[in-house]
Parts: sequence; structure tokens; C-alpha cells
Amino acid sequence: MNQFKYILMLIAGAIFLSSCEEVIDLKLDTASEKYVVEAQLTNQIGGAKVLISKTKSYSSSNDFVGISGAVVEIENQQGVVTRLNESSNKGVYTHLTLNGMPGQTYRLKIVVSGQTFTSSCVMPAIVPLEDVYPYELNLFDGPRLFTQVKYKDPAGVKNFYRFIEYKNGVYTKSIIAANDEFTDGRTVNQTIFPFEFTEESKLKKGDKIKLEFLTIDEPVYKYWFSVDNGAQGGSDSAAPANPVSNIKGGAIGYFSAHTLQTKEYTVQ
Amino acid sequence: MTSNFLKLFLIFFSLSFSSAFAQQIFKISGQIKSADGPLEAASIQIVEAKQTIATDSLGNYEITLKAGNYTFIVSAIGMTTQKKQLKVGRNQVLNFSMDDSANNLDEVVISTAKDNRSLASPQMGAERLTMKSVKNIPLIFGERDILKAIQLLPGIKSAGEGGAGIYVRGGSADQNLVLMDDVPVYNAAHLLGFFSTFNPDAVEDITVYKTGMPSQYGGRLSSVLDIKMREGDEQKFSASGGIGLISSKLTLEGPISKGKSSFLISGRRTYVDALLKLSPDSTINRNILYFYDVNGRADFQLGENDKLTVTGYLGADKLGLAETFGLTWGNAIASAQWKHIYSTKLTSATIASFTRYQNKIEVNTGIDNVRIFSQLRDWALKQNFFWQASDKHLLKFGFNSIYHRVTPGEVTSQGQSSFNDLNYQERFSLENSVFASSDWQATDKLNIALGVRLTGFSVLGGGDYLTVDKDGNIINATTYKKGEVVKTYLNLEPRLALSYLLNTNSSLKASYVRNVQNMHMISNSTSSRPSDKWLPSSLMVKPEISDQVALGYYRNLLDNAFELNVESYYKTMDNQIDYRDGAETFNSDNIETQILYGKGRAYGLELLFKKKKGDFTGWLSYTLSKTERQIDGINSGNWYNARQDRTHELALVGSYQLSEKWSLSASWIYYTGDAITFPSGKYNIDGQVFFYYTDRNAYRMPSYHRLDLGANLQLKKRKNYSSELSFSLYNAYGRKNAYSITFREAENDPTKTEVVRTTLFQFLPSISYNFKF
Repeated sequence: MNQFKYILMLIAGAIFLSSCEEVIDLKLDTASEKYVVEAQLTNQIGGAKVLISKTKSYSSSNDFVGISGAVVEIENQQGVVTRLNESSNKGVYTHLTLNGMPGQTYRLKIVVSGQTFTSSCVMPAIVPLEDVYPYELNLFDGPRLFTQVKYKDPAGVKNFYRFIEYKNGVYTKSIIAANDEFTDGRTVNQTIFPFEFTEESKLKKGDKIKLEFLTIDEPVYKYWFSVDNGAQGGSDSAAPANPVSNIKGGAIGYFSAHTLQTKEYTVQ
Repeated sequence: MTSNFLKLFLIFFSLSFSSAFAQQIFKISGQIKSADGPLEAASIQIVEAKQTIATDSLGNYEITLKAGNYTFIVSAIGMTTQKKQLKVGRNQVLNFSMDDSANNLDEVVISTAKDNRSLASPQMGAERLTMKSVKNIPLIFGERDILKAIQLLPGIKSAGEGGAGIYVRGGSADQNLVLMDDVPVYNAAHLLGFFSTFNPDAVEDITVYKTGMPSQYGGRLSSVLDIKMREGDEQKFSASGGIGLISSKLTLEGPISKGKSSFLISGRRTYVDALLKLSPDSTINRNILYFYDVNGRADFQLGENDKLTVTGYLGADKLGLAETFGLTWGNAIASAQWKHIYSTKLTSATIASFTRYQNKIEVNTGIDNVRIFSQLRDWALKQNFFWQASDKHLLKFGFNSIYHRVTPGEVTSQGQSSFNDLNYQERFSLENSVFASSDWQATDKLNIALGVRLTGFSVLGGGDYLTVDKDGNIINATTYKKGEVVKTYLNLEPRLALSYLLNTNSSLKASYVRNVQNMHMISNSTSSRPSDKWLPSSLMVKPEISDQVALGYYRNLLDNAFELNVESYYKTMDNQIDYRDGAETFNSDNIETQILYGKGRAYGLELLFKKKKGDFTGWLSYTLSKTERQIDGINSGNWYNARQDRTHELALVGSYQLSEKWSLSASWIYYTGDAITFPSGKYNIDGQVFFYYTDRNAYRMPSYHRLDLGANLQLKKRKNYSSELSFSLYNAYGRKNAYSITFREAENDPTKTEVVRTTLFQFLPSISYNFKF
């Protein structure tokens, strides 16, 4: 249902014909630092990756500044603990072979500078990705191509999905997550909306599109769903808040154990 | 022997007393009317008798007086007060025709203008604005929108740039009881709030109660906006209308049977979509965007003692994005009102009504074809009695029953859609209230209004009702049969108001009022959205309760050329509702798992200074206030500023009658920016920058100020035809007020972040042509 909300925002834009945007100076406070954890485990070999960083002041650089020296462990349902090693990128912890199995629960434990953060996540079953294709729709900025993702939702169980789109190898930053509240058991065609409706974000002839299709569990869905509430800075929410994290111990971020399928196409 | 003597004495005494009574007492009665109909609750002060009485629902009054010379001072909110000397020596009818206090050259003032606020009445926190007085305020978007006009009064805040949403004394937008001829309107906004649902040509006046609501009003926490629609002319046919840049209107009225019955029908439609078509952006002009509304009213005088009024309203907004997306919403209202005079002492008003709010979303992508429909319907019966028990004692009592039926969402799809059909559970409830109030003149100087309202709200089956723990987990779901009572909430709402006349020019007033609200709206967006949902009280959602105490000082200055009102208040609000972080709001079957409960408090000082006489009239209004919320699960459970907490708010309104043809007006407003949540840091996730939020509403939007200018030019003024042109300029000095402030990666340097301010309207001119024949 997320797209309906998106469309409402577009309508508001259409009415405000006389609106103007301007970059302004604004003095913002800097809150005390918090650890930020972005942890993923996929069903593919070497699919474990944990990034650890900290919150920083608004005026600092947007670059990722990793935190070294953390002990990062993932435990499977059988109690086998695997430690991830810091890669050549500072603050990025990986493992050469570790992967997850659908239906299994995984635990994450991070110890850094005396603080401990934990989380657990279920890797859901795979839902076959049927097709990824372009489709033209008329929304408020005229006809435009959107990537469509086709899959058949399994009936009678709760399913949650995330869609990640890359255009010519670059992530489009559009965060789209879906549940099956309205689509249980249906063949679903999910429209991938762009991060912003700009000329630049239009799909053009020759663009190579890659789409990653993830099955995720409910808390992870909640995290991506609630990103809409201001995390990307452009929401009209009356009360912006941080996404709802599934990490315990005072860090922000998420731990997602998900299945991953990929399909590509070239815009004709 | 002694006792017989005493008896005899008593009989003799009472005989002589009653015969004196019969010889020297006369009945004075009459009706008080404005240009547009009888005035209810107008106050009549008989100076020498030291009595003040009020008119009933048909504008009638009656009083008995000894022979002698008396001064009658008649006043009503928003009307020029009249004073009349009368030598009482027989039973007599004395009628008054009242004028709006708005400065109006082409109407003759019949009697000496005196104070226009009843200093003696215990009613406080109330303001009445007529459409005529709104004429002396610059137009906004080419419309004389009455819900925008009242935002210039102290204690009443606009919900945002151009918005028709209103915050009264720290309440939220859904806590105002918006009544159209006594029937609640659930969504009073068109086009996301830029217009209200009230067609200015069909509106007679509005009375706003910020506190001290009379006990016949109930159901919302913070205010009553009682909007009365215009009655058709029962003497002659006429047509009036207006052509503006954004909308056009046409009103027809006249007698059905001359002098006995009348009709009025008024329609309005916008053509914003035509403006879209003019857009240089060729991609915008395929979209649909308009609203319309139609008001109808018929009045029938059925003999001397009965009057029947039938009203109807239908309005809708339609937004469409090419053929792909459609959004339609609107209200429909119908009512029948019967007023009956049982005797000169007892009158009654009975209202049966229906109100409906609907919202429909349609999506047709060619692959998916889905429709989401929701609605809310109320069937209501309201009975009011007015009983002039004695010269010093007016009693009002009655009951109100409303059956609410909420259809939160029906999803239907066609063909090979991705969507299943789905119906969320309908919710049924019955809201019954009884009320009584007494206006009593205790002494020459002290007036007391005592009221009470008892509300029983019954949550009815069928369907499942949830019990949810404080973390939002479902503990229990119980299924109820259709019509079965799930829970009844019984609440008593006492209301007390006092006024004390310090001297002929000033008075003090105090009041306490409790209000209860059982229909709740929760919204997590800044703009009024048609999809905002109304939610009746349930097992988990408890009635909202507010208690307000207020104190005021009222003074007329310089022979009543000026008026000064100062009011202060303290208000607490219980069972306030907000969404949890990351709430999913669409699924109404388990909406209770997405909600948090808490409390609120608001206090403030309001000042209104009016200049009421001369070619130049106007007012200055100032509000100093604080509004906070405390909800476990938000802001670590600490008190935080509510979004609408604005420390200072100032409005300066002036109008000047330049000549017989030209009148000029201006308004300037200033307020402290809303409390808002901005990030206090950032971090990297997902290969992009995310913003980090800490305290709720700890920042402020930039302060807001704006000057609007208006001018009216009377073109023709003949007996059968008149026309005028209205010009206005919204935001005349082009202040770039922030509608929103957002954060993003800098366009020219992605390693940096920038702040973007969006401004909606700068220098927005409008012109409209109005006619009447």
C-alpha cells in the first residue's frame, strides 16, 4: 500500500504550482554518538556482511566512516557461531563462505568498545521471482517507464519483500518494501517507483536495469517500511522518527537475514 | 384565636398583593431579528428593572414589568447593540432589528450603537462572525472563507499555510465540532485544506466556542464551530453569484409561498484543473483536480407556532492522474428541523439528520485495477427545549442520539489484479446524551450559567474487538454478535460559567467546562488528507476527556468605540491518541496495535482589542500559549511540545471605508514557527545518508508572517441590481514562509547535506466579480 501514500504526495506537488524550493542555512544540534549497524546475511555463499559506523554531525561528510576492532558473530539455529572478519574496508565485516538457509533463525552479536548489540532474524522461504520488465504508466509527470516485478505470493502465510533497483550499476536509492496484506496468494506485479520523480530518474533506452528481489521477515519489513517516516529527510510526516530497529542494546540500524534473487533487463 | 387572626391577615395580605400585581404589571414581548432571521440567545437588559433575559430559538422574548420608564439594551454576539427607552403602561410588543457590527455605510443605524458584547452574559470564549463582517477582511484564494476568517481571532490557529484546518487552544484539528445547521461535518476541507466545505454565499454566520460551550453541544474536545446557513428570502426572488479565478458560484433564492416559505439553492465549482491545463509543464495538463458543492435549504412557516426547515448539502473533490489514479471524497448532509412554540415560555427545536463522509481511491495501471472505499455515516436525532422559567431564569434541556456506522475500508479489484478483495470490519456505535442548563441572574451583577451533559457511548458488535498490551501485542480478540453491546462509556460533563459586572463598562467572567470525545481521528501527516481515518471509541480506545478553566476580563472603552477582552485558560486532555513509530495505518482491524495513548495540557493568555466605530475599524489579537503532550512510547515518555505549540501569535486586521464605492482592507499575521522534529545527526545505511532523530518536536520552524491586502469596488448599486469587484493580494510582501523543510544530499556536492525550504505562495493575487439581482 506504500505506493498510494507516494501518489498522494505527488498530488500535493501538483496543486502547489506556485511553490518554490530554496536551499537555506539551518543550525542543527549534534546528538551524542550512537553506533549504527547494518547487518545482512543472504542465502548465497559469502553473503554475510556487517557494517559498523557511528552517527555524526549534520555538517560532516556523507562518507561512510567504519569502526574497526569489533567482534562480530553470527550464530545459526544449531548454535554454530561464525565470526566475521574485518575486510580491507574499515568497519566492514565479512566472511568468505558463510550463508544462511531459508526457514532458519540467525542471531547476531556485536561487541565493540565494551558495548554489546544483539539481534535475531528469520530467513524466510524463497518465493520464486518470475519476471522483471519495464511498463509504461501515466502519473503526474506524464508517461514514464517503471520497472515491474512479477512473483506469485504463497497463499495462507505472511510474506514480506524488499526490492532493490540498480540503473547502469548504480543503486537508485528507492526503498520499496511490501507485505501481502492485500495480495495473499495472488500473482503480484509490483511497481518500482523512483526515489524522486525527476527527469534524471526516468528509465531511458539502453539503460541496464538490475533488480534484487528479497524475501524478508516482519521486523525487517517494519524497518524498511518505517524508513518512509523521515529517515531519508524528505517526508511530510508530522513526526519524523528513526526507522524501527530490530537491534537490541542501543544501536540503530538493522539485521536482515534474507533470500536474494536477481534479474536484469535492458530498456529497449 | 390568634391563629385565625394570622390566617385572615395572610389572606388579606395576599389578596391585596395580587390585586396590586394585577393592576400594575404589564407584559412586554417581542422578537429580535437580524437582517437574515430571528436571533437566538440575544440578550435583553432592562436597566431599571436590573434584569437580563435571553431570546429563545425563534428569537422571542417576554418579560413582565411594572408601569414606569425603562431602558432596554439589546445585544447579541457580533451585532451592534441597541438601546431603547420605553414607557410601560400597557401590554406591548416591542421588536428589534439588529445590525451586524461590521461597519456598513449603506445601512442606516436605527438606534444608538452601544457595546456589542454582552458584558453581563456569563458566556465567554465565544465569537460570532457574520459573512458581512468577513467582507472587511482580504480574500484568500479569491474566497471569503469563514473558516479562514476565524483564524484571525485569538486562540484559533491555522493548521498550516492556506489550510482550513484549525487548532483551538491546544486541541488538534479533529477536536473541533464543525456543525452545518446543527449537523456535524466530518471533513470540512476541500483540496487538502486550501478551501473549506462552506460556500461563502450559502453561509449566514459562524459562532465559535473556545470554552464554556453551552451544554447542548458535545462530542469534541476543543471547540464548537457552529455554522448557520442562510435562509432564502421569503419576499422576492433573487439570483446572486460570483466569478473568481479559482471558482465560480451561483445562488438562487426566493419565496415558495410569499411571506410563508422560502428556498435557497447555492452551487460552487472550482476550475483548478483549468489552471493545470495552462501549466507550461505539458505533462501536468492531463490531470483532473476540482471540487464542487451544492447547498439547498427550504423554510416553511406552518402557522403561528411551527416552522419547518429542510437542508441538504452535497460536495465532493476529485483528483485524477491521467487514467491511472483517481481519488474522490466528499460529504453529504441532510436534515429536517422543526421548531415549535408551546407557549410564550416554552419552545422546542427537533432535528433529524444524516451525515456521511466518503473516500474512494481507484488505481488502474492496466495490470492492476483496484478500488478502495471507506465511509462514515451518522444518523442523529436532537431535541432542544427552551423554557423561560421566570424573568431571571432560562432553562435549556434536551437529548441527542447518534448512531455511527464506520466502514473503514473495502478493497475490490477486477481482472488479473495483484489484489484480493478485502473488507475491514464495520464499526457500529450509539452515542446518547442528555443535557440541561440554566441561565440564572443571581443578583444585579452576578449571572450564573450552570450546565450538565451526560454522554453514554455504546460500542456495538458485530465483529472482533481486541485487547492489546502496552507493547502493541494482541492479548485477546472477542467476537461480538451484531447489535451486542461491547462496552458503554458513561461520562458526565459539568459546565459552569459566571459573570460579574464590575461597572457599566466592564465585567469579569470565569468558567469551567468538561468535554468528551468518542469519535477520534489520528493523522500522521502535516496536511489534511482525505484518507485520514475516524475511529470510534473501542475496548482499547477510550473517550478523550478535556477539562478547561478560564478567566476573563471584558471592557468597553471611550464610549464603546473600543473593546478589550482578555482571557486566560488552562486545559488538560486525557486519553490522547498518537501512532507508534512506524505504524501501519491502513489495516483498521488491528489499528489498536499501532496506537499509543497519553495526555496533553495547554495554557495561554488571549487578548483582543477592537475598534468598532468610524471609517476605520479593525482589531488586534494576540495569543501567548503553550501546548504539550505526554505519551508513553514517544520522546522517552517525557512531555514534549505539540506540533501546534506556537508561543506567540499576532493578528492585526483593519478595514477602511475610503468612499462610498471603495473599501480597503489589510491583515497582517505573525506567529512563532511550529514545534517540529528535525534531525540531530546523520549516518550511513544502504549506501545513502539517513537522518538521525532524537527528541520529538524539539526544533522550531522559522517564524511565519504575512500581509494580505484587499479592496472592494462597488460597481452598480440599484434597487434591482448590484455588483462589485473584489481584489486581493495574498502575501503582499512575498515573505518566503516555510511550508516544509526537508534534508537531502547536496545537489552539487553529494558528500554534503543541504536543507531545503519549500514555500507555497508568494504574491498570490486574486480578483472576483460578484453580482446580485
